[in-house]
Amino acid sequence: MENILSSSKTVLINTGNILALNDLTKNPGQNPTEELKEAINITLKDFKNLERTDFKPDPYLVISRQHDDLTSKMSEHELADLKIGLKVFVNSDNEVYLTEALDKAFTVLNVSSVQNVIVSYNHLIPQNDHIGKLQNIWKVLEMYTKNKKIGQIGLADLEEGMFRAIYEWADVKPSIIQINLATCCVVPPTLQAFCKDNEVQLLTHSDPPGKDLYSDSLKIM
Amino acid sequence: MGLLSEGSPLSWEETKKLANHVREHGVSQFINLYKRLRDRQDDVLKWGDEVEYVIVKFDSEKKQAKLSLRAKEILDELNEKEKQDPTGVKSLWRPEYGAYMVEGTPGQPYGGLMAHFNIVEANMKYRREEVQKYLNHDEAILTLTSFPRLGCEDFTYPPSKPTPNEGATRSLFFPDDAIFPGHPRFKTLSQNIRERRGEKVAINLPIYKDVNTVIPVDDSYLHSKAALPDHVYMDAMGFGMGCCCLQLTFQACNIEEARTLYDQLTPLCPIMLALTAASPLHRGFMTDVDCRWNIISSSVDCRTEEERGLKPLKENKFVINKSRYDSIDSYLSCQGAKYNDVPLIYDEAILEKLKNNGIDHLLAQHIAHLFIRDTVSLFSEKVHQDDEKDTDHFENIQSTNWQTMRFKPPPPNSTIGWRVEFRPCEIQITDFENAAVVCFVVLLTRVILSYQLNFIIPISKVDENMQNAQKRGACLNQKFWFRKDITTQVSPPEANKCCQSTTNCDMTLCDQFIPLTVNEIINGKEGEFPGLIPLINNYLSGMDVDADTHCTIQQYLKFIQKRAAGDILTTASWIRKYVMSHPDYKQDSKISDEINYDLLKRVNGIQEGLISCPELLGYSTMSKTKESIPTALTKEVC
Repeated sequence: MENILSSSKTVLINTGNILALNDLTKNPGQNPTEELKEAINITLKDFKNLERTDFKPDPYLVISRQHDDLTSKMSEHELADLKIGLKVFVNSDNEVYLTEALDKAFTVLNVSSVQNVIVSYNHLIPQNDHIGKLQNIWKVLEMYTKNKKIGQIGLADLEEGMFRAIYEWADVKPSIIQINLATCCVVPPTLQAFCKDNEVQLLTHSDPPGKDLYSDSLKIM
Repeated sequence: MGLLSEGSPLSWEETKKLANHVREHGVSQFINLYKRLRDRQDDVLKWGDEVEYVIVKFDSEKKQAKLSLRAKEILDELNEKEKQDPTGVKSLWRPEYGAYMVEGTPGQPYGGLMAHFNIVEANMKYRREEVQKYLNHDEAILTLTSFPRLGCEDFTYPPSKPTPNEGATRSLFFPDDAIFPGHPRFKTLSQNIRERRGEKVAINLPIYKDVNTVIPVDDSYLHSKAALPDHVYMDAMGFGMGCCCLQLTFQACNIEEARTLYDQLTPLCPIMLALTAASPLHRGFMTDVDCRWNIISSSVDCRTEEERGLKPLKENKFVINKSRYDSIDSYLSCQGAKYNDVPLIYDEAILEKLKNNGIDHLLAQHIAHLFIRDTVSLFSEKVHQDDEKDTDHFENIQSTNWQTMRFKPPPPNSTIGWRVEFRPCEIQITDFENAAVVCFVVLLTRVILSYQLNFIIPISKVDENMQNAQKRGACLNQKFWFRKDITTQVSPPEANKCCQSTTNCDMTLCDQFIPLTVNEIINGKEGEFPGLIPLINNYLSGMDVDADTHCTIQQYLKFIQKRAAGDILTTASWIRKYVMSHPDYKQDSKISDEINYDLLKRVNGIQEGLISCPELLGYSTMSKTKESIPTALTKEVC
C-alpha cells in the first residue's frame, strides 16, 4: 500500500455509495467534512485490506471499495427515473481540473449526462479577479450544457452581487444558487426576488466552506 | 372514519344473519383485487394528511364552552363547493362521528417534491379559514383531541339529553343527538356494537388523584356495575370516536414498499403517540392518562363476554385479546416475519382459501385476522355484490378494523396505488404543530427507504410500548423498547461470519432491543442510538431543498426536538398545567365550566396566533409556509 501510494502522483478516491456505510448511518450528526473524512478512511482501509500490489497508477491510482453497490443500486432503476446532481469543489479556475472531475464523475456513475451540476469555487489563498476566475469556470459548465451533458448549472456560496454579475454576463444562465443552510431563514429579500423573477432555484447545502473541506480531508492522506 | 356507503342500514338482527355472507364475499373480493393489483408497479410517492376538528360555541356571559352540533349544516355548504368543482377545490370535507366534528384533507395529495413540505401548513390554515366562513360569531373551529367536558350535563349546543333507556347509545352521559345525523352509519355502528357486545361499552380511566380528589369520583358506580369507583367511567362510542386525531396516508411505489412502510412505521406508533399526547381531560375530570387511544379502543369494543374470555366459548368462535380498534397484530414484510411473536387468531379455512389463491402466508394471515370480526354496519342495497368488481364487503371489515396502521389496496378502477395509513397521532392545537408532525413522519419514511433502516421489534414489545405511551408524562418519563442497531446493510465478510456461526444469528448483537426515552429516540443517545432527527438532517443535506422549504422544515424539526427533549411541554402536559394553575381549580380533578371555557378560549387564542405560548411551542413558530410551490421548483421531481 505504502509503495503504491508513494509511486502515485495522482490519486482518485471513490467512496461510492455512502448511504450504504453503516458506520456513517450510525453517526448522522457529523458535519459533511467529518463524514467525508470517515468515508475516505473507510475506503482507504478497505483498499488496504485487499493487499494487492498489482495496481497500475496510470494515469492515476483509483482507490475504491470492493463491495461498493453504487452502480448496482443505480441499475435497479431506469436512468430516466433518476435525478443525478453533482457538486464540484474546485480551488482553481484551471479548466483541466474541472473537466477532469466532471468526466471522471460521468465515468464512475456510468452515465452520459446528469440533471444538474453545482460548482463551489474557493481558492486556498485569497486572490484578485474572483469574477474572472468564476467566468473561466462557468465557460466550462456552459460547454457541457450546450453539449447536453448537463441539464442545469449553478453556483454555491456566491455573494448576491457576484451572482447577479455572472447571471448578466453568462450565455447559459445559472438555474441554481446554493446557499448555506444556516442562512436559509434569512435570505436577503433582493436575492429572493431576483430568484423568483428569473426562476432560479434557491437551494440549501450544509457543506463547510470549501477550503476547510480540502485541508481537513487532505490531512488524512 | 371509514367507508360511507349510501343506503338504508339493516337492523342488528339482519346484519348478524349476514355476518358470514359479508365475511365470505369480503375474502373473495380481496382475493380478486389482489390478483388484479398485486403486480401494480411504479406508483409515485404521494401523501396526505387528515385533520379532525370540533366546532365550539362560546358563551362569554355564562363562561361556558359547548360543542356546537352544526357540523351537518357546515358540511353541506363545504360539500356544495366540492360538488361544483371536484378537482379544483383546495380541501375536501367529510363527516365524522360527532355532530360537532368535521374532517378536512387537502384537495389534492402532496407528491415527491421537497417543496411540498412547505405547503402543508398553509393548506391547514386555509382549511380552518374556509370553515370559519360558515361559523357564527361566537363559534370557533378547534383541533382538540378530547373536549374536556364531553358527556357532562348540557355539553352541547343546542342542549341535548342522554337517553339511557332507548336509542342507539343508551348512555348515561352521551346523547344520540351528539352523533352526526347526516349519515346513518354512525348511529348504526353505535347500536350494533352495543348489541353485538350484549351490553354497553365500558371505558374506565384512572382518575388523576389530586389532594382534594374524592373517591368515588361520582355516582356512576351506583348506575352501572361496569363503573370502577376510582375511575372516570364512560359508556358510549362517542367518548372515543368523538375524539379528534391526525392521520397520514402514503402511497407506495408497489405492494412490497407498502409492506415495508407498514412494518417500519409500526414501532414508531407508540413513540408518536407519546410525543403527540394531547388528551388528559375526559367527561369533566382530569385523568391519569395523556392519550385517547385506549378510550377509543374500549369505545368500539364489540367483543362478547365469551370473546373477552369471561365466559366459556359457546356462541362465539374465538377468544380475542384486543378490540377491533387497537395496535396491529402482525407484520407484513419478510423482514418483519420473525417478530410476529403474538399468536394470531384466524379461521383456518379462510387462511387456507387465501393461501390457495396465491396469497403469501404473511398477507393471508393479516387478512384472515381482520376477518375474525363481524360486520357491524350493513346497508340493504349493498348485500348482493359482484365479487369480481365490487369491494364493499372487503372494505366493510377492513374499515372497521381501526388499527395503528392500515394496509390499503388500490380502490377499484382508480389511478391510486397501494397505500399505508399512519393513525396513532393525537391532534395538536396549532397548524404549525400539526404540520410539523406530518412533515416529520413523511421525512422519516424517506429516510427509512433511503438508508434501508430497520426499526422492527417484536409485536409484543410494540404492544407494551403502546400501553406505556399513554401514561401521564410518558413523553418525558417513560422508556420504550427500541431497536439498537437500525442499519441493515451487511457487508459480505460479516454476512459470511453470520451464516457460518452455529448460534442463531437473530440473537446476535445486531438484534438487540433497548429501553430508550422519546428524547433518545428522536434526538439520539451518545454511543447507543443515532436519533431520528439527526438521520433526517443527514438525509436532507444530500437533497436539493429550496431555502424556504428548508427553513420551514428546520423549524418543524427543532420543534419536534424540543418536545422530545422536554424543553417545551406536550399538549397534554400543557393542558394539565393550565388547569392546575386556574383559579377555579380546587385540586379535586374536576374541570368546571369556567375552567373549560377559559382553557378553550386560550387554545383558540394560541391557535389564531393572538396569544404566544412559548412553553408549548417554543419561540420560533413562524415557518415560511406558502400556498403554492414556486415555478422554478415545479420543473423537477426529487
